[in-house]
Amino acid sequence: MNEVLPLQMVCEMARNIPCSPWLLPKVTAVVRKEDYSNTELEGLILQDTGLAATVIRIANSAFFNRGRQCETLQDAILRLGRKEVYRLVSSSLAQRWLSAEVKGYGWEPGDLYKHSAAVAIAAQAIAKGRDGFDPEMAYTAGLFHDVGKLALAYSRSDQFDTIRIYQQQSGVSWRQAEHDLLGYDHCDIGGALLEGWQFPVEYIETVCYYSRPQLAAKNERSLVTLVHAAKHLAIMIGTGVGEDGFTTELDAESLTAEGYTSEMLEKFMPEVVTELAKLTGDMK
Amino acid sequence: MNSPAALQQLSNALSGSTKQLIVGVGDWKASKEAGMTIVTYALGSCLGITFYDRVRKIGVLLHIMLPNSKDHEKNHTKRAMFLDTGMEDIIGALAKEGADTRSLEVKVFGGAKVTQADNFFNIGTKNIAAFELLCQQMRFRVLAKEVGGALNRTIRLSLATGEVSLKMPAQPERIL
Repeated sequence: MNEVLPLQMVCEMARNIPCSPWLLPKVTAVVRKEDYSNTELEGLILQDTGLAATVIRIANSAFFNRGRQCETLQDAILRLGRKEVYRLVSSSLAQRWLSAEVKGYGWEPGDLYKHSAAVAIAAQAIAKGRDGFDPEMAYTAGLFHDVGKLALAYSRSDQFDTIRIYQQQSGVSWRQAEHDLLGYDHCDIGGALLEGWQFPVEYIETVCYYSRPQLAAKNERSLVTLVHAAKHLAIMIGTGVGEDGFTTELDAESLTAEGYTSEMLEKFMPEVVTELAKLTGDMK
Repeated sequence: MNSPAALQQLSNALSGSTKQLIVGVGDWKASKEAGMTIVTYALGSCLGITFYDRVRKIGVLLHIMLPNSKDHEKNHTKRAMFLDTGMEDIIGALAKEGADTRSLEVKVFGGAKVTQADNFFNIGTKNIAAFELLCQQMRFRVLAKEVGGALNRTIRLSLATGEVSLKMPAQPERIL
């Protein structure tokens, strides 16, 4: 093993990756207020010119265009509706970060974003059919669940051969192998990053414990277990799954406690594949 | 050798490049073009099934996700997502091209066990069992079978030879 970097250093290095999703917690805070105005939302989105342009472009796309061009962000928000705007903002910000060209986990370009999008779509689909979940929040939690992997690959890709050999010899999960060798894993890093960006607590819990939902705080455990289920659905589909994917821990006890069965979850697969194809174009 | 297609083929041959079709999840693609390769990436519990008619030089690659279309609602689905309907469509299409299904060279890959738990997400095993049953019924000649295990597989079918190259993480590419 080469010198092991402390967790704080890995997070600090990751902050140098362009396009961090720092704006998302602010947008989340606004849309969670019962009486927020479109002007508040507009003011936040305007802080990121590229994002504002994306929202206007999507509002004028063939799918949303109703024969009149949206000239301003205000028009675009009105046309798309707040839920669609929130989904678009989280997707755009996540895509920029997760599409950074970093080698690791056996990724081909774009793999991390495609897999994250598959988890997000699966989480949203599952949440729609269950009481007590906000499907948009489930989508965003799924989108960001693996954010720590990018940071780890960015700063510690020199360690990946050692992690691979240790994982294969010991038979532990890839996450556990990271933890055994580095003293932290991509979930710890993701949690620290989201905390630094001031993301809401349920997203931080999801990122930290999506692979072991029994460790999540009681209030957040249902969402974390839902993302755990969505993660495994996405692994089965295969799109963008890295070399660590098949070693991801499965917490059958938590899934059963939340009322999930294999047959119930398998039924979401065609929908997830269809929606993912719409979002990412060619599937793989 | 004056047609644009022939010139393109010559140009490909000289440059060593081949054209490529990519098959996504729940999709299939076919070709009769000798310089073509059909590829599908990262098979997990899904199956990648290749069909090759050596006489007519027709190749097909199908990437199915689940064994049985009858267990799923019709919305959100494509027939090629499922083994039963995907195979039905391909056999129909090949028959139209004059292929004899019993002389087809069939190869199958994927069906990985993607989790360690036995009671959750064991779709890979179900896919393999359904494929084997269907092959018995259809009397297919299955020339290669690389299935199961906890492995991610990428396959490429060469239309020139009918060979399939198999790539798995941290392992050298193999030809089957």
